[in-house]
Amino acid sequence: MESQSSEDLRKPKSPGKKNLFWRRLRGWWERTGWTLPLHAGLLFFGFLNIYPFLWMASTSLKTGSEAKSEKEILVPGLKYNLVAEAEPVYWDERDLHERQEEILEILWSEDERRRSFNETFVPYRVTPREYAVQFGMRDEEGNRNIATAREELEELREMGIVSTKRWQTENYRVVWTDLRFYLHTLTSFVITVAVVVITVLTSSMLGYALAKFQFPGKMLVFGLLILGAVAPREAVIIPIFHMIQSLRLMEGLWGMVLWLSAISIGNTFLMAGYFLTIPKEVEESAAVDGAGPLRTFFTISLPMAKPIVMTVGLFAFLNAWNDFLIPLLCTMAMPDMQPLAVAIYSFRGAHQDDWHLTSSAAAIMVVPVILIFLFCQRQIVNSIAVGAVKG
Amino acid sequence: MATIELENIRKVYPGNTVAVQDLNLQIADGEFLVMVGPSGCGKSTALRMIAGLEKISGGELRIDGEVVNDLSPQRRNISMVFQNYALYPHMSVRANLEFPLKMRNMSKGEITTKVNELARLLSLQDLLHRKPKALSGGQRQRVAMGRALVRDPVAFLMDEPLSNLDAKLRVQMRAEIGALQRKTKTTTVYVTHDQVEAMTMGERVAVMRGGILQQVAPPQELYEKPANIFVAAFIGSPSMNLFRGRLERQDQGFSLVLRDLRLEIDRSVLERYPSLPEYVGKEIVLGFRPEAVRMSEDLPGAVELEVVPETVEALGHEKMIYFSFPGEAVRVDVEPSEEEESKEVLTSLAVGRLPGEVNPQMGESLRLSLDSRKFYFFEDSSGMAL
Repeated sequence: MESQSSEDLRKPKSPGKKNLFWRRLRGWWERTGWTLPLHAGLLFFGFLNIYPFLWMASTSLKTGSEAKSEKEILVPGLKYNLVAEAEPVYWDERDLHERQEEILEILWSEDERRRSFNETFVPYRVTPREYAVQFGMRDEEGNRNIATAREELEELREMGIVSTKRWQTENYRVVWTDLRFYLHTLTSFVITVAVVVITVLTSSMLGYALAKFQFPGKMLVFGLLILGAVAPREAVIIPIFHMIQSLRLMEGLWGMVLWLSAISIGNTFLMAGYFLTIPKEVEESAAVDGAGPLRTFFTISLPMAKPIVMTVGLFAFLNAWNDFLIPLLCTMAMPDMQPLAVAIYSFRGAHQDDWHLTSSAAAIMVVPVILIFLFCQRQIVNSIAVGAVKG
Repeated sequence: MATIELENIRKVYPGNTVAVQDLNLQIADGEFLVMVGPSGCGKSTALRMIAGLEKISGGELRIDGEVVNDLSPQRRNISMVFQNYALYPHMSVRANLEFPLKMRNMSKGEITTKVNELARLLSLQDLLHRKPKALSGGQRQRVAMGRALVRDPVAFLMDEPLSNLDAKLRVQMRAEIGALQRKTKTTTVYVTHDQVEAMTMGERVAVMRGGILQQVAPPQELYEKPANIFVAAFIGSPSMNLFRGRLERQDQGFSLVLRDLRLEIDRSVLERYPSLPEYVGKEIVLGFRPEAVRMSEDLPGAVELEVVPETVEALGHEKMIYFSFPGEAVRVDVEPSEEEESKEVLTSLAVGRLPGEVNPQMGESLRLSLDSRKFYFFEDSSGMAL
């Protein structure tokens, strides 16, 4: 008969509760390592990065006062429901003359009602009952009447004073039509296309010449290009302004196009670098087959350089679409022909506090860039890895 | 169809590197000339000068009698096939084949007809819509040849077109290129570094080294009558065995004194080398090809030798034996150097080719005989044949 001690050493000890927890934790750590913290960190920073866009998108769908409120809420219309506020009527200064009477009528007729209403927006989701409690008309006995409140609410909605939508997509309509943003988008588009075409043509031809030919003054051209690419734009803004002014380029869109093409000229190096990697046998083959230098360039070399052409086109597009300073200088006197970046800037006057309108305009400006990014994502990442050009 | 004449052609690169020196070649109409030599010997440069892709530094290039030194390649009406085919990667096979004709502004109907005909000729009909990257090496090669053929040029220039193919395909394409050229009778200049290609394809072969033309002759003549040591060693695989020794008179004939051996040379060599007596007492170079090595037979003029094979390579139809030859071996550098040929102080291995039925064993002594009718003699200093 075996002796039985109080501790039976043959049986495995069952771990206590605390030990089990740590053991499980260590097991998990050994299985996954840094994965969870890493992903959590990446998600967090990703969120931080994307937050401005989310803010912009949601603000563009809020009403004016909702946008201005101190409570930062990313989902529009979450707490603002039936009774939001009266929608003011927007007009553009350029239309002042044509719509003068109409505007005055609005101002004078609606004003009182609007004013009083604007001050009493309801910050929470409200039901007709709550509305009645807070704003309802009192009946003869001094009690607030729910039925009347509903009718009143309905009336206000029909008058267009009250918005019953969660997401105010009308902001876009206002910005596009009333504030004439279709003009600005068109202008931006036309300018950008022109800039992309000019930039791709000139930088590809210049890059090709630099890569393939020897000519007197080649080093000088190189030096000038590098100088232009390296000099910080802000440092030379005064002489540039002077140049634009004296060349009378401010009096039209072409000045802007020229300038925007010029700042993309650093792409020439990308082109030259790529053309150097095209095997010269292919071009020699074209020469032996009877193609002169120009024909070889357009039928053989340029199509072979498609990736880098797309990269340069992309950079040129972004520069032209987003540039602000020189277009501002060039189009100060022509509010109709301002590209988007400048047009949004002019919100600072009449509509400075209208965050919802500003956001909508900014969203309009950003949408093409996002679309391009979605479609050309891989190309863009490759370009940035290969190109290493600022911008 | 045209004749190509190179007269004193020179190519000097900046920095005074001479790539081609005093090249004189007359290529007849319809001839298939092969330019062969080790890397860097100037054969590709010469070809590119004929094509117009390199400027000619000196001399005259005439195509059909007309001086074309300054004519741009577009206007020379020749086609070129490059080593890596140089197909236009973004165009389909059909577009690649149409390109030269489009440059000539032919009508669309004519272009389509010609391309279809050529595709049939080269078995490319099913590949016409594909892009070059979807083709195999052999297919690409055929497209490159097609592109050269499509224009009916006055001359074909080919720059090592078969070196990117595997061995079997190479043999097949060699025959096809040869057949094509005989059919079209177009003057062809073919550059290669492979002497087997040169010997099998060329009507005449031009051997180049260091920018200088060594010898130009039909293949058999190059094999039987090499003009100098370099040609002798370059042509023939495995290459000729070359040894340095001193020539002395002996009895009615001569003997060559190598380091440990005295080779008797019969008087009959005087028929082929009448100037041999002048070199008595001097160092000359003896060369014999592996084919000159036989099993011992008592033929007149045969030099008997007892050797110990160090390596035996059995190839089925023949056996190659490597045995040490008691003489100072002459090694041929591919680049001509200012100094003499490098001297190997140790005994070097000679190669012999024996029929497959013989069974030599490594380390076992073997009795061989060298056929002195197949000896070659060269001057020691210049390397020229006697």
